[in-house]
Amino acid sequence: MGENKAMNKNTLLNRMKGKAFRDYFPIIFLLVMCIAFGFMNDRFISWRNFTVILVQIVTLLVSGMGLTFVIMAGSIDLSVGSTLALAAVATALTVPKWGVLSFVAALLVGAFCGLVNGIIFAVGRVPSFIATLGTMTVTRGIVLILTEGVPIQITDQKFLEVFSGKSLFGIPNTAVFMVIIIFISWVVLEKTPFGKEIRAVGGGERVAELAGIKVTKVKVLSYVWAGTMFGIAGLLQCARVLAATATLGEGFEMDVITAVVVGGTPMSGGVGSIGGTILGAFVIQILSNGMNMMGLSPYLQSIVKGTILVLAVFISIDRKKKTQTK
Amino acid sequence: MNFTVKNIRKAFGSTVAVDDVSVTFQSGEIRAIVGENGAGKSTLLKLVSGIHQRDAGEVYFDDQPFHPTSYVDAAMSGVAYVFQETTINPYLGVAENIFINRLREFRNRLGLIDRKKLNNAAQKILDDIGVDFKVTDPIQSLNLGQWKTIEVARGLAYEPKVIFFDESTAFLNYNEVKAFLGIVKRLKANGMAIGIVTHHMNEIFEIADCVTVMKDGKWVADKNLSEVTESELQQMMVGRTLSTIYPEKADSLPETVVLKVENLSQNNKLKNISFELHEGEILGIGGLKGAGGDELLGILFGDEKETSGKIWVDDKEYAHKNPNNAMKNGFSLLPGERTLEGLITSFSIKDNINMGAMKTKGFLLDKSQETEIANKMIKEVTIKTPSCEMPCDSLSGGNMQKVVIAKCLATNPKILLLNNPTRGIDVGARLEIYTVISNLAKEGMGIILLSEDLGELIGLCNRTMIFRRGEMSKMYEFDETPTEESMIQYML
Repeated sequence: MGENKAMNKNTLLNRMKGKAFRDYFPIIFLLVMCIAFGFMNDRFISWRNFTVILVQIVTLLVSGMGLTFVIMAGSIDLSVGSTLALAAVATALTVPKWGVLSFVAALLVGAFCGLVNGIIFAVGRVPSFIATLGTMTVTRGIVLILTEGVPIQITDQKFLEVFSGKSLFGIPNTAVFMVIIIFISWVVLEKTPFGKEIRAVGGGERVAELAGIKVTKVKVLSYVWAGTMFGIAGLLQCARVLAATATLGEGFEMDVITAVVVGGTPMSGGVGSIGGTILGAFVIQILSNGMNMMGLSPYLQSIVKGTILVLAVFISIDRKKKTQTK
Repeated sequence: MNFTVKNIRKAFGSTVAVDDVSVTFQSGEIRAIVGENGAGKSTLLKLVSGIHQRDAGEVYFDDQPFHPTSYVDAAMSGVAYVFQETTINPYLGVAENIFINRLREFRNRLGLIDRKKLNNAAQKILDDIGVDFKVTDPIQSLNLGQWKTIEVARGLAYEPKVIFFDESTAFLNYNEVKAFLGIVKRLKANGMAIGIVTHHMNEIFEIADCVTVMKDGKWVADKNLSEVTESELQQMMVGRTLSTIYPEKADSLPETVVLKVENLSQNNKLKNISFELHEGEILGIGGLKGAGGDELLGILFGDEKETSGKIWVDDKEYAHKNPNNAMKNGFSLLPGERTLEGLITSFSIKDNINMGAMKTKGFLLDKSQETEIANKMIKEVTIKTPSCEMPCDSLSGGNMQKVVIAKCLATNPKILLLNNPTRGIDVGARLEIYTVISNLAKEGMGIILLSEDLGELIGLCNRTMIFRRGEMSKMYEFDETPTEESMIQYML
């Protein structure tokens, strides 16, 4: 008995040791990066640059909140950028009539796109990579038809004031919305049965099913949730750039996936956290911001981003587990 | 030619699977290895054919020390092994399956596969065995027995002197078995040394010359088949008087019927099964792998669909759509595959226990209540852990299984379905699990226990059904005490 206890303690200690570097990698990386950029450019660490980053990160972070749910449930959504663009177009088209209320259009369009993804994937059993690769392309096509390739301007002052204005202490409204959304996401993921069910489905679908969890429903809902988040991201994005363009969010899915994965949510599902995705998003955004300040060419930036993605997974993956890497 | 194994030993973790076993395989002789599940038969064959590495002991092949590093290494040296599981790739051809890991040997000068040469080589092996299909036949059109033959051909392609068959007939039907045994006999006539593991007594008496009996990883006896009877053999396999590790049974059953099943069938896997489960009863199901027990539990839990038949729960007809619905009707299932179906090992004990019945306060999870339930369950089923927040992969197999039991109980079921609850679990944890099961029955829960462990069925169950190829071949009633020998008879 005594030996047994000692052994338990021992394994616990080993686990913590094994975890240490893996789990703290994103935050260590973020700190090192901030210090390095700080030395290289004295404008980097400033209140002004902080608010710039805060505004820029909104789209990424809000989308990340959505994708975290999907990835934790063990699937993937590639249609982030397209959904975001369609929601932006829907907003821009309805703003002249509905004004501020056109945010409803963004939410509905996002949720609908998610619902379609979820049904094709969970009910139709099409692998999520393929399902969302398809809807990504289709949705982009719809965006191109609606915009005819020309940006749809948003001129409604009231709308812009609400969704891209500034409030107290010069903090951008979008950042306030972002914080609210992060908080809601955290509550849903950590405090509700739905969050636990998402984890269970991602951690072991068969186990979850035999535990009486309605796996199909949970999967569909995870996509609806994600789509809604992409819709909100589209809304805030088009408010920031004053227009919905046909190419809005093109290639954006890679940034969001990178943020989620760098934040410690493995593609295999079951594990992950809101805090991790926030960290991951900051890593990606600050990296872009710093590289831009240094005047690094977009080509080089792309190389750096890709390297970071693989490196993050390489470091955080648990190679002791004998499960297959897909 | 002979193949001698001396004092071989193998442990997996703390479980000793094969302990100090010696056996000799002679050319032109078929030796059967028999024993209960978990006796170490398969492990023994895997040790001598390079699939597992032995911890201790010697193997001599033609008086030379034999130490294969892998399955292929062993086969190249003349010792082939045919796996129990199907290893046929249904998307490749017959010849490609036979030479699956040796296709480079059939390259032409351009480095491409010389299909003619490949097919000829494969056809030659098939001709030697004498099969009823051709190398060019599409693999999907062949039956399981023919697939097994292809696997045999794969082993024979190495021109071995020794070949081992591990429960090769387990999934074959009557005619396929007959054809397969014919092939084995032909190999013997060609002077090969053959070792087979099988549960089917009739097959052993039909083809084997001698038999080695194993039990709990240890050698029990070597016999010539001419000098033993079937029942003597079974006696040796079982080998023990019923131990006292089982809690006392109830001396009567309540009248109330909680579950009634009538003429339940599922294609040819389950045929016309009817029974009643009483309140507080432990009803056993025995049978060989694939006899239908898994299907019955799957159907009751709404995880599989029956093709016909009716089920009543508490006198109400029960439409079992899915596991969620089954749980609402009072069912709970302990699945057969602990780590694949029973629990998510990376999750905490608490999260696993509460997975089936999350407690809420409005929209939110009631964490304090979940912790309370987890702690209560940990005490009730005696899980050894410092905290309910510990991840399950820090636990031993026995304690993991107790978490699965706790998960089942947390949903407050009326009917508990157990699929081999003590598979791969050491004796200490077994005893504790038996006590838990027995106590639940005393509290009035109806329990169905599917088990490969005959001792468990005899020691724990009030009544026991035996399944044979999807049919109920025997129901041991309340006043009937089954013996392991008679149970085996009804299974075969």
